[in-house]
Amino acid sequence: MLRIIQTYGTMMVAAMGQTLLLALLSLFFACLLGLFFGLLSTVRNRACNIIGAIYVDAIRGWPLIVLAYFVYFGIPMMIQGMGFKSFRMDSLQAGVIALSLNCGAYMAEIIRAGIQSVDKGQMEAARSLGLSYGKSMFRVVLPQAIRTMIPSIINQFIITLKDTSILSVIGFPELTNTAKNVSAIFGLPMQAWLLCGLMYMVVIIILSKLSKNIERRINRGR
Amino acid sequence: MADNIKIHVSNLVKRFGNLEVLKDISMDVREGEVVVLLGPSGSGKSTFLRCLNRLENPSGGQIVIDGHDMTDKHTDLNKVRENIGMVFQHFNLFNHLTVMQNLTLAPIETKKATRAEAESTGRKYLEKVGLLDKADAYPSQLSGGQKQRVAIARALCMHPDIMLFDEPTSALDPEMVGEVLSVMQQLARDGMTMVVVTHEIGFAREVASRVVFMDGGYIVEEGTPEEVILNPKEPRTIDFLSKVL
Amino acid sequence: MKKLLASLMALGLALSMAACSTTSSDASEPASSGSSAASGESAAAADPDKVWLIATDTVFVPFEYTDENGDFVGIDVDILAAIAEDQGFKYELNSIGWDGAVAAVQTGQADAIIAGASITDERKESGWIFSDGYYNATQTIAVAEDSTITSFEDLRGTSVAVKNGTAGADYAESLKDEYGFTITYFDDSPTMYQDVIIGNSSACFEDTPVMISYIKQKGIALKVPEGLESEGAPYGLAIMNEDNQAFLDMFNAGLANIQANGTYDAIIEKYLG
Repeated sequence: MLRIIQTYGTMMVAAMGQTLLLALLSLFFACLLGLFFGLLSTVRNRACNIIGAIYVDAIRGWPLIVLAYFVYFGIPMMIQGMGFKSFRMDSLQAGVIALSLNCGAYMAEIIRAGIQSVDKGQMEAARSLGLSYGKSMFRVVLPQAIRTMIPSIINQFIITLKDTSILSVIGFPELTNTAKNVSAIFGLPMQAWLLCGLMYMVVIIILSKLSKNIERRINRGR
Repeated sequence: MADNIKIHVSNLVKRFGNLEVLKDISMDVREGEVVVLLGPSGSGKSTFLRCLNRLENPSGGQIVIDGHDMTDKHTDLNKVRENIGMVFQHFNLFNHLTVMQNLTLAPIETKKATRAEAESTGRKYLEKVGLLDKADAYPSQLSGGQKQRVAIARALCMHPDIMLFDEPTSALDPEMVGEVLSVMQQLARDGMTMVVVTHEIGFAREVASRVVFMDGGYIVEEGTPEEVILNPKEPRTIDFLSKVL
Repeated sequence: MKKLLASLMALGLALSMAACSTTSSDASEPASSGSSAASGESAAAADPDKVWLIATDTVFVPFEYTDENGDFVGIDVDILAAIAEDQGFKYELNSIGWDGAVAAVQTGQADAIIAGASITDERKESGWIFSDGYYNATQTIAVAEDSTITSFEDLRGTSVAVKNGTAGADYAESLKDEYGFTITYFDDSPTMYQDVIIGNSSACFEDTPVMISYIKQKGIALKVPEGLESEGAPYGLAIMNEDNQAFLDMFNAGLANIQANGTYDAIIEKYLG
């Protein structure tokens, strides 16, 4: 194991950086997707609700690994097939798309549940004062919903951070992909995986502590 | 139509699925009138009130407020609602905002006022309901009666010319009912057009210019407090009053 | 399937123990080896009924793969069978994938691995003990059918695809600085080839016979430019536990025999002819 760290330590730390880059980009877009589809599921419009439900069901029904292959190979193939022969998608782009779509579906559910947990009298009071639906949602309902959503969101963030490992199959040089590589070079899978697992764990523990802090600060505001 | 009619309702019908809650309600409210809706629970009073500012969508009929047809798709509901204050049974204060922020949110967001103007208006109405010292408190730090007075002040900050009250004292402890009713009485005295759903017969007798008794989705009887409360004619009204008085 | 589960469970168990055992395996000295190396050999010799557990990859054409009839075949498979017949030992071959096979041997769930494993110094240093080389593979690149790439120089500034743990990956690593390309690692060959077909990677590095036979067999839209082969590295069967040296000796002896009697050439001819 020492030999792995000596030879490939910096490479694995760099790979951790790639993992975090992939996770953070995906989480950012997942939040946007989740907010959009979560809102679609809560508005009083059947068509919007159905679109929201289709997104959540379709994405949750696809294993991430399948989605990753599909995005990485399927989308370029389709676009090239439409005549854009020079279209390329690198594994970071594909990884971010696949992971955002996946995490976004779970975020949509968290946000939908969060919004529905806020007493509907809050929305009615805001509307009765002449605020539009959007302003009522963003100024009155969501700020209250977020407080109940935070533990689930943090949980989802951690799941997504670990799910980045699945993107190793499309060759994105994140931590798991690099660990496989190191394992094969040395023929020491146990040590490589142990190191890899420990690195994930350390980063996730640090992030959990950080987010617990944020959670506490938000709840203290009241 | 006389121009001092603030609310005109004709043939209003409201269904929830197969359940018909309002069956052909017609009513006019004139400027400065205080109309109190009485009736047993489930009689459709609250639903009627919520139809007035379109928190519920009517299934049929017409509602015209200040000349704006509320049942017309092209009416800007948000604009009309700015002029219709509403007070809820459960207060519905914005729990994540301070009292002052509760009062200023809508005036600022609807561009009716700058922050400074909104805050000065807010202070004025907080003083009116006797809660100026609570401006920086959060709703969770207030008693029920205080919350409802803040809710009234919040509605007033939009300078509405109609106020709707949906059982404003039903969720209060008995000793807090009085403070809320006296604020409402003051409002009535100032000439506000009010539609009030309540079980407070005393308030109806003292403050109402007209009492409307509803049951089973119909208006059963209406008239002055003397007519409806002291000398009811319909058996259902007599039955109801005998239970609450 | 049961074997697969068993090795997965062992993997989990081993992971929990790896923390304490890492220093000793770094020194490539399994704790018990010193005292039992000799007795291990005699025990194996005394027990002709021992069934040796051999782990291998799932798809590494033409060394191991499942053919159209659903039979698990390949150069590794046939060589092992021929040597077992020559030496008279019993064995069970489990196709559990490259990563799984390596882990199985490391954790003692399998006795040896035969999966087109290149004999490298890094692996020897990690404690792997290789048989004599049974096949000397050269590595080269494959590019898209309509590609204009004919030399390594043409790869400059592009990204190439390799498969984890292959000699092709080593070959690409040895060239990347000189020719200025980057490397993307995949788990399996089909994904690697797909990445070249779709155009994300300009080329892939893999064993020459492996690629030629795969392209021919599957009819995929790739071609192999000429003259870019490496010098080649031998493949060996490998063990990690020194107690199994007896098996390695049998394998080496058998290998020499089948190379001498023409069986070996027949096998190579069958798959690459």
